[in-house]
Amino acid sequence: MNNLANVKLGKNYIIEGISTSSIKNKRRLLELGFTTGQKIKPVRKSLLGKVFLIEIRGYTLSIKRTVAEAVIVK
Amino acid sequence: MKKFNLVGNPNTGKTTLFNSLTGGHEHVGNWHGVTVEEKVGRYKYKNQDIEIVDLPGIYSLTSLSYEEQVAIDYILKYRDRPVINICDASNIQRNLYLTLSLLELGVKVLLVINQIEKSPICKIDTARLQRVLGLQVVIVNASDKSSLVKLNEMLIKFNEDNIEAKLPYINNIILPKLNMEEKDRNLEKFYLLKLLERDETVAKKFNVNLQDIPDKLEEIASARYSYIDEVLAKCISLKQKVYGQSKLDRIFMNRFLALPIFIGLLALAFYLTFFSIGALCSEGLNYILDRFITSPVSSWLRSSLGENSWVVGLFEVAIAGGLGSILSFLPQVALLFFFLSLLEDSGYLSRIAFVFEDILGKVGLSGKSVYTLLMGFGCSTTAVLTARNMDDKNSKIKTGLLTPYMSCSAKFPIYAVIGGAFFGANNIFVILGLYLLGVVVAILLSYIFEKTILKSKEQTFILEFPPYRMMSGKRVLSVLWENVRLFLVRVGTLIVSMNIIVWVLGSFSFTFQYVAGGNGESMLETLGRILAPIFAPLGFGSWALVSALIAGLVAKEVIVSSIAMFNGVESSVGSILQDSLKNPASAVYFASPSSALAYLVFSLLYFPCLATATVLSKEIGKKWTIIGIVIELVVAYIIAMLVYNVARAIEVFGAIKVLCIIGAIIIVLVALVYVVKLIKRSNVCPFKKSCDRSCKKCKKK
Repeated sequence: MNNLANVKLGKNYIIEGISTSSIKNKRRLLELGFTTGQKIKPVRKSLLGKVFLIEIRGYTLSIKRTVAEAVIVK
Repeated sequence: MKKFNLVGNPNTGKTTLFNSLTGGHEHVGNWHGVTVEEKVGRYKYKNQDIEIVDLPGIYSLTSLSYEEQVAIDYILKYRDRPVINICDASNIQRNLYLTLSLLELGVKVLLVINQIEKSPICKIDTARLQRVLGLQVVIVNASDKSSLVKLNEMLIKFNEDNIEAKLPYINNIILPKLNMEEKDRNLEKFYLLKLLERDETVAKKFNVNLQDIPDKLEEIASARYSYIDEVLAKCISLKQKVYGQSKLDRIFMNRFLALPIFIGLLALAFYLTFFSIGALCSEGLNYILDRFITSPVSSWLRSSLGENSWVVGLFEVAIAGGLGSILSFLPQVALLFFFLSLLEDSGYLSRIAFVFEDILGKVGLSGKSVYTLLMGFGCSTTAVLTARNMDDKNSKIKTGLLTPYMSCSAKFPIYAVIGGAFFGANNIFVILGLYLLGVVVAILLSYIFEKTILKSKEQTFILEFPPYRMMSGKRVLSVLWENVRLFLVRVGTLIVSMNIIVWVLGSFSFTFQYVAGGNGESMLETLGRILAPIFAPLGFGSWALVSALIAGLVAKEVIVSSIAMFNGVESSVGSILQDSLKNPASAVYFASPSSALAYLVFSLLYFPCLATATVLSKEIGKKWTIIGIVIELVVAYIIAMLVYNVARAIEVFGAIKVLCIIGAIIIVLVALVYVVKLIKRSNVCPFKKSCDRSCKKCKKK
């Protein structure tokens, strides 16, 4: 299963769902527009790869690796 | 009086809009019993009273943090009040998500679309957007007051009756059944939706077990977003443009180039502020002050009151000196803020924050605090000011407290004179070591603060990526003017009064005899004598050295001139002064290089100068300033004592023996830490997250 943290940077993906035990993280991701079927693109990683820059719904934001791992993509 | 709540996502220019509308005349209070600030602003527009409440930023009406809950509670409590919903045009979809939540609640919304010229939106049909969503729409530029006329017109004419929100997607969601009291009836739909979204606050309110309610969190979010897409397709056309991938980003955010470029840019800003332009302006201003005010007034005072009158001293040393230091600060303040806003507004600092998040996050610093800290090498007083606009209060306090550890340029003369006398050609290494020591201490303290009292706000999602943009000349001027004005008003007067106090200490005895000519013991000298024994373990327990430290509270460069004065040397540079430091007969005398070294270390760390302390207490509060000063004194004392004793031991026993002993101590300490870790680890489950709690270790717990 692919998640945002282990796919290639700079390619487009489609969100298949959010898999996390933290309801708070799930809710915030949904509020930010990480809905199923949404196009998404990991743009770059920080120096040590702990933070990801993500492009979604026409804007760019950064999320931590642990959060990115919860976003299942294909 | 028309009352509005100001609501919006974080980082949408909400506070800017608030300040532009109300003219910054806010009343800052606290919400009942909590620490979140309540900002209420009142103003008049065309004789209509308008009141606006600035609420903490939220993404939806379900909270993840305490501050968000405060905002949501307030919106619910005053839901008959219309809401000004500010929305950043750069990510309008996400912003409209909150707008929909507000409309679901039945609140009347005035949608303010901000910064459209910097966004990927090329056309927007506001009339249609108003009609489709059932709200009012206005486009503004929050930082430009003239663009707010239309918004103000809408505020005074705001009529709640003729708009009706349209939310067709709600009808497709099957709501659960729930018994409610009459007073909650009119919000039934809102609460039921919240339950489907597994909102714990609402579940608690109605005593519902969320297990009994279907999980429709995802379904509802998707429904809102598809509706937003549908609406936007009708009303807005977008350019395809995404940030963080341009050619510039490839260079600025490159793994290997990012750091050198960042340091290079800061070094350039540093050089321009403290050496070339800034220094020239300071000199010019001081020349004007001296030529037209100080010299004429002081010669007039001397001729009319006599050379030795205390009024002459008061004017020349305290007042003219204070004014002079304010004037030399001014160009620095302006330039520091110019470069900071250039780096920030251009979008560069956000990129730096992202690239170095891994490293800076560990010690709880941000790109912005690095700017403040590095500028501290020039002047702590002006550098501390640049921490003013940091969003996170704890990071701001931390940055303020750490800045004085950066060895400011006023400390350099101390190293040059005293170090030069005792270490000769090797002094360059001593100076380098002192600069490094300051940085290392700051990083360690930052790490300790982060783990204990000053944890910085966790930023899981917040960081958004702005496009590169040029700053407008208007904004530059307003930033500069605002900060220079604040500096003059808040700090200037205090610096002069602090100068007067220290001048009194140095020129009068405790019986209020004027002793500036050297005919008696000043209060400063007496204080020095009382405090001197405390510093004996540090190797410099002489009254004159301690008095110089006290005088150095005004500004660190005063330490050198005080020492020259105590030793009866005319100039504060050159070999005569340095020779006098080695002469046992003079007042300031170092018995050994090790005590000189300890004195340098102590001067580096012991106290932010009074000007810095003044700024600190204005920016981060009295409490934290005092805590910071106490920490500095303690740290300075301990480290200076360590340095003195180790250096002394090297002098007496030779370097090799001492190094062996230190090495042995470090090995023992490392071994101890390792053993403690081993013992601790033996209690932790070896399977970690994959453990089903049935292994030996977990059962024991």
